[in-house]
Amino acid sequence: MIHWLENYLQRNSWIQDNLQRLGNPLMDAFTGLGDFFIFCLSVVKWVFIGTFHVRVLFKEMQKIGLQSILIVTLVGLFAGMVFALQTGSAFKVFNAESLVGSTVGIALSRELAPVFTALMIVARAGSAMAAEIGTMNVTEQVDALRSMSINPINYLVVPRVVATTIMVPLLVGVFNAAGLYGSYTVAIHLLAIPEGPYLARYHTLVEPADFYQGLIKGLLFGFIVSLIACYKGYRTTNGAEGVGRATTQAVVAGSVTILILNYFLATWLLQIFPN
Amino acid sequence: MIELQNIEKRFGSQAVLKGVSLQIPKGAITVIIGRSGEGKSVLIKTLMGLIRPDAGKILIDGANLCAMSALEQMKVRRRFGMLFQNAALFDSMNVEDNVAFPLREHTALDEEEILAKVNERLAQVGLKGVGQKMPSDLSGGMRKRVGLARALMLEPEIILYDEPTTGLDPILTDSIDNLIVDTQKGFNLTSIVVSHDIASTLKMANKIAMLHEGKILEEGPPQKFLESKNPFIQQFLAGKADKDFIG
Repeated sequence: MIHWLENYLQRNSWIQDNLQRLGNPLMDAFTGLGDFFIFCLSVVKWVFIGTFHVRVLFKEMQKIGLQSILIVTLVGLFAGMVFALQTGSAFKVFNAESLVGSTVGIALSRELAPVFTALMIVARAGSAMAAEIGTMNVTEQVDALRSMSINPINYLVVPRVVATTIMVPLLVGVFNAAGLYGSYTVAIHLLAIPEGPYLARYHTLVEPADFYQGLIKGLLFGFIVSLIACYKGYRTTNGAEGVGRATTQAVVAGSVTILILNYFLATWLLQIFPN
Repeated sequence: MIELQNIEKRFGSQAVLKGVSLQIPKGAITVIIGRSGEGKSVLIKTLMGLIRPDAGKILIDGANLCAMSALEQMKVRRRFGMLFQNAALFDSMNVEDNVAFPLREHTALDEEEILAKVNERLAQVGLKGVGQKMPSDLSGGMRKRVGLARALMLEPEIILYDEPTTGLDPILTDSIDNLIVDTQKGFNLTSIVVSHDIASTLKMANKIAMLHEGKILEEGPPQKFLESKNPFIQQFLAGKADKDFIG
């Protein structure tokens, strides 16, 4: 049977060519995925067996967290404001403007805050991580670390992954606070929604579980996007062009992963924290 | 003593090392020469365990580096220092932090002691007072000197130089050659230099090995090379291109 199939494919080389055309990218994708998982396992291993570089960790926490506060606050503020504006005009049709605060609160804490924050961290810090590690790779600085008996995953990757995993949930909190302030300002001062019912509905409908969902998402997003960015940097080849490609890939792969992962996390978290 | 036994390394379909065997004597300067793109840098990185060979053994005082775990290899690497082709200084750190880096990572010395050692090493390589400069502010020769100072910080037994004089003017080349010889004598190191600079090689080498087409074509003291009857070695020493060679 196999012999017959081989002969048939040899006689019809176009079938073989097309199968190869389909198979090669698939093989590359699976090889890449396998390599990424090996990289992730290596990172987790070095978290436990490696020396902890506290100085690098704090430097990264400052770069990823503190230096992102302003932009996260700004985006959170305007996201809350525009969401209040849109829901306010829609709810007016049903005379339900007092639900604006709770609707914005739930949307912010469960979805908008973790997703927007993670997307901004990918664009701001993820690209920087990929470019920095990628440049170190192509200029032999990673080899220099290894030549000094320092494991580059332990020194370069672990502090960045830990710092991002810690800082993204904290930034999610900042986003929430800014968003709620923005929505409150627009709802009360612009849409003239009475403050009492607005706050009462908010207290009744928004629960701590909504914030927990956002924080859990932020934690996982931070972990996965930093792993992707560091992986892309760590596997950079081909000089400056390679660094540019790694940076783009880190941002694209990180952003797409956040949006896909968000759906599955939302499904899972709704089972854990039912309404 | 370091011994390479039938080292093979392939990148994709390209075989770079095709069974390299070489003995590197202790306390001497061994220079590995060969044309550009012959795999000299791959060989030197393989020798230190930065690249894992596909086949063969690397014996360091009898222990096979290839059979060791990653953690064991890291321990063995503490005995090595390496000066990279472009120095590979950390561009986010100034000279002082670059040179202090191995001490901060591997020793419990306090900052005062570390800075004293850094200044001492920088003075030894003729770079007193540049500690606060960034690597981007240094010339090629200065970067290599800083790289050498960093490589010597943990007082290694074996030091590897990857094309230490490439891209430098003749005067700087001579000063780096002198520095390699002085360092070898001063610290009683085993030095392995990768080069395609014949003048430098003949000046500093105790032993020369020629890498050609993925194998060691010839090895021995400089005099043996000068008297070699091998036409390729004579061509390489004379620095003459083939008539039809255009690349």
